[in-house]
Amino acid sequence: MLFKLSVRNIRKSIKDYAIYFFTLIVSVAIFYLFSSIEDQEAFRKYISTDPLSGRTIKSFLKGLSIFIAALLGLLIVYANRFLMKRRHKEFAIYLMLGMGKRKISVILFLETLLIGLGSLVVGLIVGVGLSQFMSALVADLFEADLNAYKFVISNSTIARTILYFGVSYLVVMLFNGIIITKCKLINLMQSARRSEKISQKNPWLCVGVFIAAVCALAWSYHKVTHNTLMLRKDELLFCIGLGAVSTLLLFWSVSGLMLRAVMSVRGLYYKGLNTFTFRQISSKINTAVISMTIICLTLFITVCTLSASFAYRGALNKTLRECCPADIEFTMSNYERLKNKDKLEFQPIKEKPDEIIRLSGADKYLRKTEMISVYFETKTNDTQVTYTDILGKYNTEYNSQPYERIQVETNSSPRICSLSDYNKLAELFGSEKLNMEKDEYFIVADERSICPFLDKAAASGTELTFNGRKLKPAFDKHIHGTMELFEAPINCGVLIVDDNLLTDMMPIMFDLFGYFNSSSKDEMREQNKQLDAVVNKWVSQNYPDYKGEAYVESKVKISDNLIGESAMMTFIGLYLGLIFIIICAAVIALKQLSDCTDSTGSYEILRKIGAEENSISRSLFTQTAVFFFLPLLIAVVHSIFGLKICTTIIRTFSSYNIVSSILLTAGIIILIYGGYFILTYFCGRSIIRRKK
Amino acid sequence: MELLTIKNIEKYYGNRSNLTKAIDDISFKVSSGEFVAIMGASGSGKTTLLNCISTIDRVTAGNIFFEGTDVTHLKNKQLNAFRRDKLGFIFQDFNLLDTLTAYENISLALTIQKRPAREIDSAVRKVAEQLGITDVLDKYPYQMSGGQKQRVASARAIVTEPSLVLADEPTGALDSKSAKLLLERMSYLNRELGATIMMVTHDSFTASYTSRVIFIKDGKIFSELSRGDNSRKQFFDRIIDVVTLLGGDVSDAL
Repeated sequence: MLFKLSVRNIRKSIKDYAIYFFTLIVSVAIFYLFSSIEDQEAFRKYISTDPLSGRTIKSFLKGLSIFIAALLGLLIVYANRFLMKRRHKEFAIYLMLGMGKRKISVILFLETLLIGLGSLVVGLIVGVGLSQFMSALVADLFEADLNAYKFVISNSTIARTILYFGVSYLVVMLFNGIIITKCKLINLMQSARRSEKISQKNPWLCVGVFIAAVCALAWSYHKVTHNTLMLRKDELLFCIGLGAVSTLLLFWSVSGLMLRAVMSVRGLYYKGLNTFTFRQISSKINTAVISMTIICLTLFITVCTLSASFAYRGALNKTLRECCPADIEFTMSNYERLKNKDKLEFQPIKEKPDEIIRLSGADKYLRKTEMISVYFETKTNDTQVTYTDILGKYNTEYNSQPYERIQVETNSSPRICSLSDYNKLAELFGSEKLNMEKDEYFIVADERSICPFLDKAAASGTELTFNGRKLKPAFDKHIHGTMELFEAPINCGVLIVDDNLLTDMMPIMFDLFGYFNSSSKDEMREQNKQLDAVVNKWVSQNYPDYKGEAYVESKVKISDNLIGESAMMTFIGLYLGLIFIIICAAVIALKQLSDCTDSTGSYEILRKIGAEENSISRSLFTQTAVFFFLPLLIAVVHSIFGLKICTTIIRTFSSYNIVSSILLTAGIIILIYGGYFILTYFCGRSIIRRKK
Repeated sequence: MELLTIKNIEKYYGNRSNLTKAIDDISFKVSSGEFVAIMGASGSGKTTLLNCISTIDRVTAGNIFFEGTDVTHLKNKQLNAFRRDKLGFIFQDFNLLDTLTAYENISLALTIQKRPAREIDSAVRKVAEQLGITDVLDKYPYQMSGGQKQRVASARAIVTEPSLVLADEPTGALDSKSAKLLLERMSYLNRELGATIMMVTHDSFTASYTSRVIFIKDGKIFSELSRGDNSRKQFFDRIIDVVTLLGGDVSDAL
């Protein structure tokens, strides 16, 4: 009998509680979708390239998925509360008919069980279906070959999904049991018509709090954007904390203030159903200040996370192009570092990299190569040019930058190259060749914090003493570029001087740059591996005692590392972002719908006193819109400033433009959030239209 | 002048196998400025009658003419406009909006009619004075007594100056003192301002404040009383007589 009742209840409720089912199914599907990444081909491939960090990532993902499951569990409990609230009358009837509370609990238990099973099955089917799109996305993120695409069903993930959600449903059951045993019959019966108390706030206090909150926000916005890079960590945290508190105060004061403001415009307030609409909004915001603040802040975090992870991803390709102008760099230094780090011991080596490449037979992999000599300040040379000299009078200013980032030790010496070597590379990399007088110099750099100071120093004509000769800057700015393969713009400066100045000096390092024959990534990876092996074998055969550096760095290797890293970042950002939006939207939707249920009576009254259906719907639309978009609006304002910080930070390692990432984020938010908004509006409308 | 003419209306519920005649051939007229009560026991069809007149429900057969227009043939849009502009409602459970003050509750009836904002204040204050609720205008429903709430609801019903005020058991949820106060106000509205009021009740005391009482039993008009020159007390006694007859079995009465 009880089972029959449960089944009937559910069948009856399917339409009523659309949003509850929707939330359950979406939660299960999203959870499966992201947890199944471990079994995606592309991800496995990535993990297998680096087993150690692969394990870390795997356990991190596991932890993350438990955290997400907990969040989704909370959402389900919250959604369930809404479901229960709508059924108070029904419970009252059961109790009046003499059904025991235990029996009602059993009914609820069965219902939760059925709903849980149903939503799990549907959610898993949806999740498995969507995960096929996901695998394409993952393949793209990790830049894997799409041909390896396979239809994957992850059994372990299914098991995990069932376990986590099973636990959530158990909590729901317990929760329902507690509610039922605690509730009083009289409250259940009268739940529909208990008149609400309206708490009024002192308008002057509201104005005061509002002004204080706006000022505090403006101050922290100014603080974080005005001189982002000078900001200390604790200052930043203080600003974020202040921002959060001000947001809370803003919502607190807005509920009272907005009403006052609208009321003072009589023409607007006393027009159609506006009186009702604004009162309703104000009283609802009043009761939801904290949840709205949390939603707003979560949305803010989401916008930032999503934009930043997209931007990080986009910045990467640009970084690679700029920081790795060649496919490989074969570095051969003829010194070895001893235990004492500063002491360099000279150890000449007979063959230079280009000869090694030729002798070892590695040249068959390469199509175009060029070699340069690098000079360095050592004990054997009397050149003492340091960054301090190059920066000249701007040295102090450069050193006074407080924030934590890559910074060159200014009393160290830069690498030195000849002009003709620079031009050789310029031709190889396809950049502009340069000319200068014999007593001139210039600096090649791309590290973002030092560049402006290098420019200032060059513009003010800072002179250097090199090998006893005075040198003037050839240009009034630095030359942007790198003379090594790096994974980020961290070249703090290479000094370029005339060839004749270096003739009596011994190069301490040779750098060979080249391009692979092939242009496909997989072939390059393979060629790189073989080249590495061939060269190492040759060196160890001919110089068994050689302890110096003979190292091949390649663009492929750097990009594999970076892509793995960025794919993980993007993936996690995307994951958290999506989950957060869905949770926010679902919480607002549920709150809004339960409010609709509570105020069905009010809408009935409006209808009775002659309000047209259209204007009632419009009133509901306004209310729903304000609920959805007020937190979003404030979150967007926050994000504008938050993203400014992100942009500034991203700019320090790439000149990537963040706008497209923001647009993409906006698109995702509009899609999910807007979808929830529309769904909520239509569900709400059908709730208030239902005849008693 | 005749305001409302009800002509042979019928209202059936149910299906062929189980037919309930809630209203079974009722006809009567209401003139402008009248205060009419419709009395009957629970289930006699009086609320159905009120719903049909207020066009909330549709009649199965017959016609209802309101100021010469047959409202049974009005379309949805026109129905809304008719209800909004011609009728005012007072309900047993007040039906005030919790989140609005008394003032706003009253003004809502005007704003729904799209009256300009500048007319609203004077209209609300005037009607509040007539019903003696000026001092509760800024209060919320939860801060008011039942009687005050019902007077606010009455104010909302008449502020739009409707041709007909329909009241469904307005004293049903009130204590006797508040009920009396409300009824006095209603007869004041009827007498001094010429409001036409039609009230459904099963309470003889409430009905004795009106000028005419129509008794309904099982969907049919059972009897009708006019107050004429009677005092309220005399009228009340006459109503009681009919109610006794109405309540008892026909055989008991004979």
